[in-house]
Amino acid sequence: MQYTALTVAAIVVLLPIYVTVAFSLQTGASALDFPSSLFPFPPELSVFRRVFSVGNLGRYMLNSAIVAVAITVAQVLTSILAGYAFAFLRFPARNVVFVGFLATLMVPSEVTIVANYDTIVGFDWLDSYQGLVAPFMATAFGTFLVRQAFLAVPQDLRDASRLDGYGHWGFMWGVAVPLARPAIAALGVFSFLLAWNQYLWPLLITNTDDRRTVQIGLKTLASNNVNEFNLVFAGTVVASIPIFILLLVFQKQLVRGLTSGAVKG
Amino acid sequence: MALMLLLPSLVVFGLFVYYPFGRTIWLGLFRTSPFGNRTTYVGFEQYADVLASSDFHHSLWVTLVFTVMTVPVGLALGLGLAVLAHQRLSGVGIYRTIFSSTVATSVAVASLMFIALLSPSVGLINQIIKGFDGDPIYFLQRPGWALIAVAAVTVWQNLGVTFIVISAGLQSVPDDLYESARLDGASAWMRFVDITLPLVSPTLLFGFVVLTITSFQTFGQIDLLTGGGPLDATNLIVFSIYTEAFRNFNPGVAAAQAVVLFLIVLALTVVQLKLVERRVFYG
Amino acid sequence: MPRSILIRLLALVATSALVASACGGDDGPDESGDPAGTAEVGDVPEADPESDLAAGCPVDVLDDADAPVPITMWHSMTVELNDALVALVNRYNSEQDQVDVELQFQGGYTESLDKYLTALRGGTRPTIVQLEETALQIGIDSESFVPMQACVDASGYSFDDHIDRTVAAYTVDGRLHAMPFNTSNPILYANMNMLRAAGVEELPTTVAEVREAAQAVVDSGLAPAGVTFTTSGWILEQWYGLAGEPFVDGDNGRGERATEVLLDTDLGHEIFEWLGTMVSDGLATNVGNGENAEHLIALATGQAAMTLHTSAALRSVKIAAVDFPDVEVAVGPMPSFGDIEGGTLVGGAALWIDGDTSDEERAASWDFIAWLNEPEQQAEWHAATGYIPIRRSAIVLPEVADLWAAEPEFRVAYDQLVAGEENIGSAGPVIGNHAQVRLDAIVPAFERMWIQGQAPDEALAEAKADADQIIADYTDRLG
Repeated sequence: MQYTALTVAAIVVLLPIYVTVAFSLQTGASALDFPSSLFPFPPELSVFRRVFSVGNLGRYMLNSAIVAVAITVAQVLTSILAGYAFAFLRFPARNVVFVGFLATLMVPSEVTIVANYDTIVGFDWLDSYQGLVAPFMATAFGTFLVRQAFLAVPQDLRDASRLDGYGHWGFMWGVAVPLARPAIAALGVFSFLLAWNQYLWPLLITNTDDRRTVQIGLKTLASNNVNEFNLVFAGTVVASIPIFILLLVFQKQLVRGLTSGAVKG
Repeated sequence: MALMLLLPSLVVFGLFVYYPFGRTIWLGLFRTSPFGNRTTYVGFEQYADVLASSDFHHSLWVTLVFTVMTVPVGLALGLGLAVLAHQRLSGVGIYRTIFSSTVATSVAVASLMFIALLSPSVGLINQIIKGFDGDPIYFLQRPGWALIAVAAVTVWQNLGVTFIVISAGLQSVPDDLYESARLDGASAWMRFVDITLPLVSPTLLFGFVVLTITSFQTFGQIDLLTGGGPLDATNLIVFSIYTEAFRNFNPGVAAAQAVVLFLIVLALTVVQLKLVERRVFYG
Repeated sequence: MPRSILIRLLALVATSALVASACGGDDGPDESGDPAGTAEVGDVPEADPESDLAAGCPVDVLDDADAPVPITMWHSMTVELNDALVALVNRYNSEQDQVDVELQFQGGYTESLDKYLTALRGGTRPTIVQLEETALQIGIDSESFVPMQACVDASGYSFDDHIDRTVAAYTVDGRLHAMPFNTSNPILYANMNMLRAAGVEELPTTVAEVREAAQAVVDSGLAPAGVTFTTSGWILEQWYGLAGEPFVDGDNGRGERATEVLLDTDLGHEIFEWLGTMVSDGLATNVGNGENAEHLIALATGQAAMTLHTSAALRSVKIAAVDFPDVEVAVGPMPSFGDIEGGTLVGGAALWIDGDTSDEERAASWDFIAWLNEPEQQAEWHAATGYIPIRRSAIVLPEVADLWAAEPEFRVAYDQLVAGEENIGSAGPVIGNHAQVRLDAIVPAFERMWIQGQAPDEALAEAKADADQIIADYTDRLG
């Protein structure tokens, strides 16, 4: 009985995904005949090759990968550094800076797109990787997450390392970071996911296929192939596969990253 | 030392958060020619115009309706799924993965997947309707349906996240509470209302505020599915800012709208900080 | 008086009357880009190698340049159109080594124009950009392009072999601003099988006949509607062109800057009335903005029998129709409201050369653009798409002649364009923010009429008020 409810729910959740996959495996008129449209046998696999040739999805995904990795690395690094400062260091105006970091959480990026666009243009970074990555190289959310993890490092470890002659740098990379690894991994996965899924900013600043990321690439694919919807759907499937894999492999970290704000509050 | 560690983050924030924020307020004070080469100072008159404009009110209203459509439904569904998957049944792990799967979908992916359902010619729903000799429903081309369609896409796309977050909250509810309640003869529904809901409420509240703030940032689905129409039925505020700035070449108006958006989001964030501290059952 | 002399006198009077009406205003070119009245309809620009403009496009430097000169072209061609354009560019690049063209797809015409205008405020600008015909005035106002006349003058190019109207459409004040490349016309697409089954033997040629045909289709129960409509604004302007009436004041915006749309005329009311009642009487369905070709797909899936669409899609439609064997694609000229006093407007897009370019880039661009305009290329382009071959000699090339013999649908748009009477109405309106007028005034009016059931007269009145406001706002912000 409970299984019925679970299965029905699962079907509803999976329906859009299933339909997209099913339609991507058919062409033309056959995809319009219900109910056979839902059961593509035999499946037309050639479309997936065209997704990469005509649809250029390979390039788009490469761009997304480059940008997402760059953003992730940058965010992890800046969060570690800043998180360390907040967790272990005493310095003047510490609270002010803390609030300053907090304030960036209040300004959603959509509010500043016009001004940020002008800034990027000023640096001549339109249609470039730098332009895609730079605005997102730091994150207050990540900083607080890492700070939280650092605060959990026992005092004795800190004292011990100081006695052993380790300065801050040694302590940071030798002790604190390894201990905070789960949180840092969570941040990494989370940052990657957010960066991969970005839409508005890449839309604004990319103009050519050379730098388009996969989300905007999908939009290009969709408007460029109005008559070949199986190609568009195939592209959609392909574009989502990397993240599905990410979800499966890093499920734990992902969950942790998402819930870090929720449960403790 | 501290400065050295904080500097990278502060530089990024300075360049891409603090400075543009100030500049946006500044931009709102000017009226620009379509080619950007002539600007006239009009002061807060432009802000006043924006606040008074019926188009802007409409955008705010549509965004509000959209939020009301997506947030409670999204939370309820997430809670339902989380409760369903919280049972100790064999194989429930598969269901948990399925329920989390939409976290992997981006706005673009989710929107295009829904076109497979909603398109008047190739969409599954209309195929079924046609099988019954009905007339196709133009989900994305009729003002009544369009917002609902976009809301459905959003709710579905967020299901994974809400499910994961609420599940984690559920996990923190101690099992013995349920045990003793069952021994006391409480029905499943009573157990849900008296134990689950209160103990999960901090998570729900967190989800509520995050989803609300996110809904005020909605853009991708609109761009891909409806372009703000039909008849501005889905002209949510971020989309309106985008069109003003990059289609009508009115950065002044766009900036003014952006500042108002900021104030709304700020108010919502403050609400979170207050409510989470006070109304939540920590028992 | 002997009869022959009388006849000759009458002929003289008639001709001079024609000439008199053809010669209109006489003001010189205006600095701000305000077309000042000498733009006679039918004016095909002459090349003047001595002109001041010629220095702006020194076509000879190409030979001395370090080959190949790389140039970029922003375009909006999709599906088969994209394939055809890519084929042309590849052939051009491989057949010579002085110029290398890189194509960059920028989305639809509106998106591409937006991107270009955004790039004006700081950003990478392309060498060539393909802009829709509605971009003429804004292209002039932006003052960011090299007027194509410069290259015409410098190279002594002759338009004798061109279809006059396609060139005149982009000429203001005797000055050519952009070079036509992909010219199209709206045509009627129909599923002849369904029409015949409903008892309609011939394609409708007037809107009254369209209505009758749609009624027949609906009555016979073959489809839920006879026609599909999209909420695009160009159809309105095309009917004005066919009727030979100007769409905006100021001589359709070509004599003076437009200030209002002339919707409040008998024709305007007739059009809105027809469009409104077709839908409210259940004879036509509104499928939205047509960006996903829903209006054509409806023909394929048996939801309707007719629709209006650009001739540029003809090849794509024929290819797609192969998948739907019970659809017989028939194509006819655009149905008119009453007598045709004008002609369909020159639709499609033209190529503009950006001003932020070096002499070599301009020379290279001109070489490429002129190449695209050659009869062989126009023939190939026409056969692969449905765009009208704008060179008269192209139609005798075997490629076109054979195509027209085998698939006569392809000549419908050409015949229609050439048959058009040249006057101020058929020249087409020139409006600064033309795209915005369509998108924010006309489209919502159609939506209100078709979806919310607003009365056609009210929809028209609101459309006019909105459009006039949009035009005024643009002119005001121009400063």
